Amino acid sequence: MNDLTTLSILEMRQGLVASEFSATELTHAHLDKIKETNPKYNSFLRVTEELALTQAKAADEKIAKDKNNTPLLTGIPVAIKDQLVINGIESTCASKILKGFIPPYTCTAVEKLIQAGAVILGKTNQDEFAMGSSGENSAFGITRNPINTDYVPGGSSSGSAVAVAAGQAPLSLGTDTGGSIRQPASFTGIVGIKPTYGRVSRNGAVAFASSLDQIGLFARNVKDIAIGLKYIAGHDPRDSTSMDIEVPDYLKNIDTAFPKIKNLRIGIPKEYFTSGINPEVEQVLRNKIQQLKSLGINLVEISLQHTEISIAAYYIIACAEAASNLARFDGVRYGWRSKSANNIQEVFEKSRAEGFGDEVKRRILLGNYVLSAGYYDAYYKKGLKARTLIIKDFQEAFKDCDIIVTPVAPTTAFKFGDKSMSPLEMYLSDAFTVPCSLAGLPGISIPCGKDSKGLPIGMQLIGKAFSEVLLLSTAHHFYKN
Amino acid sequence: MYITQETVRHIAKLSALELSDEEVKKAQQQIGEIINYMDILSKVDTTDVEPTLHIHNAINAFSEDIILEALPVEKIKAMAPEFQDGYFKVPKFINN
Repeated sequence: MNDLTTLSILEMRQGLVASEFSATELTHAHLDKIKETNPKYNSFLRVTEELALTQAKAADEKIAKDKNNTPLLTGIPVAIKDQLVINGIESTCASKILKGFIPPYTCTAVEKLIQAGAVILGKTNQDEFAMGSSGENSAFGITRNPINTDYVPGGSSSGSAVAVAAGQAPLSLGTDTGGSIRQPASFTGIVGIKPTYGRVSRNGAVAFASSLDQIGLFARNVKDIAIGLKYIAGHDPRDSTSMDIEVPDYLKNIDTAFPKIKNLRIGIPKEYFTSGINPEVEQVLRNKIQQLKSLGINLVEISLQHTEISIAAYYIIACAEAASNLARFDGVRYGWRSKSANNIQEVFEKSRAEGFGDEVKRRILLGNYVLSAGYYDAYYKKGLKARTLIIKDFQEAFKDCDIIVTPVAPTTAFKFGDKSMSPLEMYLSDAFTVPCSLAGLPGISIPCGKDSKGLPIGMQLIGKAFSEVLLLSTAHHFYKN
Repeated sequence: MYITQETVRHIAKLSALELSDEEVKKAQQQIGEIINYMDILSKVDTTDVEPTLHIHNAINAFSEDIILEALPVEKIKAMAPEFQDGYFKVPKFINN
């Protein structure tokens, strides 16, 4: 039998309905791949083999009974970022403070995948509480980039990206607050989408920065992303910020939506090609953009003039929200409690000191600093106002174009330790992904070439809010060509 | 240094985080550096700009007033570090 772990979801589907292989065989192929490669990559924190095989068996029964009436994802293996809770399965957010924590409910997006017949392979490694851009901040060891294991896979959804890039799963869920899906997708040479804020319920995604967090997907091609998004999108009463807007059939529209728009206008923001971008990344991207002209698109130079202040605004807002959200980890109701606490204050302070890693502590401190008396107006309120300016930039830009194309990151993957000594330098590596997050817009990262070291370079496409149909269709046509 | 060690200790107290002297020093340097970078925001005039609180300006998501199933006490107990007689247990903090 061919290697089942290299197939696309549509090929897996064809094989399953044509009885070329069973969901159980497909699951075994992926479990074997994980067993073989996980010691090298450390992309999975735990593998849910028993659950996966039970779900695969159920999928086989459904396909045998009425194959044409089963959802597309029936029997398709998926990997889940540890940030997303699953009832009865340890979920840690790659933090010591949640080691051994067994959640009593399941994240809505995961629940929807399970309802659609997907097979849950396990929970993937990440930067602790989704805070990081390299995968180095996990309490349970770094994740390695399968393209070259000396390099970081990006973060924070490091394990979910690597799982897909290394053939451990064809589809995975991640979370993206400031680039945590798009950047690792770019670093590992795969496709990753952060949907519009409010497109996917955040219920069951452990909160980092609530006004920015969004669950999204990794896959090896755009069609597989389109399949996955249809199942996880939609309103959920358990997340009041999830919008009650119809979920279109993204796959059905993928071949047609882009060609339907005559003279599609692609906006190229000049601010993304000025300082800070690696020359090789810039060259590959510019060449690719020129090639796209053959698809009959118009290139429009646009300006997102507040790009320069995005990182500052983002880290103020994200850290302020994180400081509030992570106040719940207090050693009282669940999670780690310090063994050396003698009074209630020490239960809080020591449990948090022992449970959280350095980056998480740094962001809590930074968040409480910008929220504290005397600094609130200068930093937090100023950050919220800067966010308004960044949103307006996009609104203006979208008067002149339909889709915005940018690099995903200023560089390709870097080596372990290269940036972990300077938190500020690590933050600056998010320069091209955070503006889209602050504006709540959908962004997708697709591979568009490699640098001289053979490391993948990603292209980011940003659409208007809830324009995922056009965004996916455009990304599909760009990726194909 | 952009912030003092005293400020770091104050913020750590607000954050309910115990920090060693070494960590205070490191935080002073690293957070100071980041805060200094944040001053880039002073470049832009935001006098008449409204702060963004919600991206889609959605207001008041109402839900039906219905009773849903609560988490069973057994599950809560299983998650708690210490639990007794239906309550979370912590060190005594009210003195006679």
